[in-house]
Amino acid sequence: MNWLNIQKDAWITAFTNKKIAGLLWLITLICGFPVMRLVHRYLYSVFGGTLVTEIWLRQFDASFLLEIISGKTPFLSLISAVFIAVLMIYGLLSVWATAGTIGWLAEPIPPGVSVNERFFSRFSHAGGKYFGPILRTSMITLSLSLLAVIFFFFGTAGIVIGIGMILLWILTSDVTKILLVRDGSRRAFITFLKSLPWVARHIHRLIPHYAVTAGVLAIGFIIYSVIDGALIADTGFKIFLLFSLQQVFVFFRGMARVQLFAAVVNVVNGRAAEPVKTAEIPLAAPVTE
Amino acid sequence: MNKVFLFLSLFPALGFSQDKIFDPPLSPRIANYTMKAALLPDEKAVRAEYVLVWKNTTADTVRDLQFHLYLNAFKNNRTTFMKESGGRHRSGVSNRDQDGWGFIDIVSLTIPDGADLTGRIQYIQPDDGNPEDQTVIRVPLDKPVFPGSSVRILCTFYSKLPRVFARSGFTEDGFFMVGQWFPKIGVFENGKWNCHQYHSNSEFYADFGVYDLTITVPEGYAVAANGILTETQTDGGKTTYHFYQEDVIDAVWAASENYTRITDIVPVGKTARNVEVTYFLEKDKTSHAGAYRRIVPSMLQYAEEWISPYPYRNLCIVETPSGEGMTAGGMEYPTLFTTGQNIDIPGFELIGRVNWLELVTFHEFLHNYFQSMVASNEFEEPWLDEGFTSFMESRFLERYFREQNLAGDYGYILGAVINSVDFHRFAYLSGARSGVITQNAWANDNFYATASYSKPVLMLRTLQNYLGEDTMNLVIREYFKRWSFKHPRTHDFLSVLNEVSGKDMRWFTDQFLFSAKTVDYVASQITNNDETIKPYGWFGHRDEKKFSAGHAEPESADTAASERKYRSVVRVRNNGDAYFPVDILITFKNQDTVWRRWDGRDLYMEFHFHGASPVQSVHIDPYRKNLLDLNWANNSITIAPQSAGIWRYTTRLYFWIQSIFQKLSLFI
Repeated sequence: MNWLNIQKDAWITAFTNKKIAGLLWLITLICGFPVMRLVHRYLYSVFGGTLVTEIWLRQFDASFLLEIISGKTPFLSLISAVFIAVLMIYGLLSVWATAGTIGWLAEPIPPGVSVNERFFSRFSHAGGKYFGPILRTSMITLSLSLLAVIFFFFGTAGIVIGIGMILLWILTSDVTKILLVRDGSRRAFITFLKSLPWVARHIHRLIPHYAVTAGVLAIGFIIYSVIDGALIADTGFKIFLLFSLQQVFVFFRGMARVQLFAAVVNVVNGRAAEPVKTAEIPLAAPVTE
Repeated sequence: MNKVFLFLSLFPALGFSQDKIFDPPLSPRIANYTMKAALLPDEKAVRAEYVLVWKNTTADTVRDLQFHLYLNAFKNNRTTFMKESGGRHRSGVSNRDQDGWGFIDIVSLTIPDGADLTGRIQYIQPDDGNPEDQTVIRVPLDKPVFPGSSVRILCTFYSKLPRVFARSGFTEDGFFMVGQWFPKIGVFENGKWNCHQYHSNSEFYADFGVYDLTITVPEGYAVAANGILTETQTDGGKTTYHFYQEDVIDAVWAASENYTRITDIVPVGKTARNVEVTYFLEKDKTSHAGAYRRIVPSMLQYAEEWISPYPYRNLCIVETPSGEGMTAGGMEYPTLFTTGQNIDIPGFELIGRVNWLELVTFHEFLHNYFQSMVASNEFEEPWLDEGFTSFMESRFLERYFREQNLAGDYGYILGAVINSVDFHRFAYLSGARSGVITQNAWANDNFYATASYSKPVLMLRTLQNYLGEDTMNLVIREYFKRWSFKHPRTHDFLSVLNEVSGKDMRWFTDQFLFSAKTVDYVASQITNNDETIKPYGWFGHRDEKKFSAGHAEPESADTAASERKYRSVVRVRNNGDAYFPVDILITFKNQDTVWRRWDGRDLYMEFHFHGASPVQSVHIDPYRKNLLDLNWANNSITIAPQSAGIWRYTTRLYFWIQSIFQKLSLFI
């Protein structure tokens, strides 16, 4: 039941380090804002004075978008350019956040340093220190995953192989990042190559954690979808309520990422959950006359 | 005697005596073929001969014959088809290997007991004068064919099939789609031959007749054709299939050793007849028959209700193989049509659905009505078959999925419903003024699809909205009744339209059928002037006089409301150069509504109102009867804009963007 203890510890870690999940959520919020705002401003400039917005309150009618898409390539080009730009910015911020997260979870605490030292300074220190190696690892992972996509064009078997390869790269990438931080190494490519056989040998220990995380996220998404379907957001308050629900789900996904990293750190370090040590209570001295 | 004829004559005389299918005939039976063909899989070719009995049903004497040799379009890269298409068609690309090209060689063309016409064959290019194009031949006769008489032609030929990329040909895994494979006689009308070259965007035109087709293939090959299978014989390592069909305009067949035939008997709607439906499927995909079985009864029923009961005794559905075979899919022939493999993207069902199979099946089946039975000229007026077929297809899809309580006749993705109207509007909006519906198939390559499919769909649906569905059904049924098994032109349909509807619809067809005019209504302005006269001075009589300083609070809200007076002006505009009568909904602030009608002829129109409530919003054509309006977004205007509707979807977009970011972070 070792993996159960690891899971339990990982979730405890995630819940006790909600600041990390909050930071991950904040990054998506900030990076997504320019695109959302741009789209909103454009839609408002086109539809703001019309009855289209009232129609959209009742149901989404895609036909009105045809008037935007058809012959409006400058707008689409702009939105695409902005999206790509924020995607790249998000990528870099995400690298920093990943480095900070793993640093928080896996970096040995130097002697004399309190574990309760200010969160942000430790987090950002690790984010900066390991930014380079984590970025290189991410580039390797992305490149290999794109190559794996080629298999998708070879039928169902190809799709299965491609997805399997992508999963393998993700697992290897996570282990590599943890090793880089734990060992203070900067050799991303070498560490990735060394991690690959290790992952292959220990895949039976890693997969359950990813499966649990995926399962939990799926359940979360189902719950969100049910509420989304039931909540007809046709007033400002309901729209705000739905938006809040969506952000809770985004935050939860960030927490799941922290949980997953925590679990994989434990697997990589080969630590089973240690039994809780209870202090020995001395027997009371016998009562003597 | 050449080797080919000897080869074919070695086959045992099959001695079929064929019962009549239709008595009296459905069509004039002008071009009647008795064919024998042998598939040569190693050569990717067909050796064949036929006897053609062609009747001159016109009042003119015919001194020559003209034939289509469609496969010559794939002979080299200088044919008209290849030059216009650039070697690309239907998402396929031509293969330039030696084996990849296609052609027809006429070995001999003779009149039995008469002249040998082989040496008289002339290649002609009536459309573009391209000397490299050999898709039309002219054969002068030694004896003319007088009105009312007929001529028998014996033709032996060798058809090399191309590697399939445009309807006909072979695939690498041994599937043969044998279409447009024989020298096909043109249509003699109005004193001359109507026999066009094969263009990239053109399809076909032929007369009706009886087709008696015998096909020999290696044993183990299954064959599907557009006739009734009357006999199958296997002998000496060969299997011979005999198909027979009456009152059709073509013969087509498919063969493969990886395929099998599954046959069902399906009732034709509420008639007492049945139709034998054959599904030609790959051996490892026979389960696909289930999907077609769900669709076929509905399409026969809808056709019976809206057009006419399907008259033939057979129908064949060929599901072409995936990969390059898909370019032979989605094609219509009389009593046979090809679909393709349903595009299955793993996991796509989580985010949406595309009703591809229903769309293709309905569309190609409907071509049996508009093209195979109402045999319009696909070269010169492609909209008559594609437009009508697409129009009815959209109605079939709407009804089919409505009956299943499913939204989106084309499907849905990420919660957004996709309807056929939206699809065709998108195509139309992309180039609304680029051409006219009635252009011929090769006039404007960039506008062909819009002119033949999308704009006709929108035009016919707008017409239906204007006339009403019941009247439109009467128009369609009468059009089919008068022009089935004939060759109608656009003006023939218009005559039926005007007669059945009881209206002169030339104002509509002149604008939207024969011209590139467009209509774009705009709700441009609402002006509300408060003309309430606040009371100043003395009011009342004698002792009941009261003084009002004008700024006093009203005695009650009702008093205030009744005293309010507004003069409102609503202005609507037509930014286009066409017009279409529309209804305009005007809503007042107190939620009262009024309707006004505008014919749209003038540049703008103003509506004036005096009342206790100002105008809040204007909506032109709220029920969207006019599908040709270039822009629906500007059809309304309101003085009380709601931003919540936009926020509703931009927040959702925000969530999706965040989700994409978090998916990316798996790799980071």
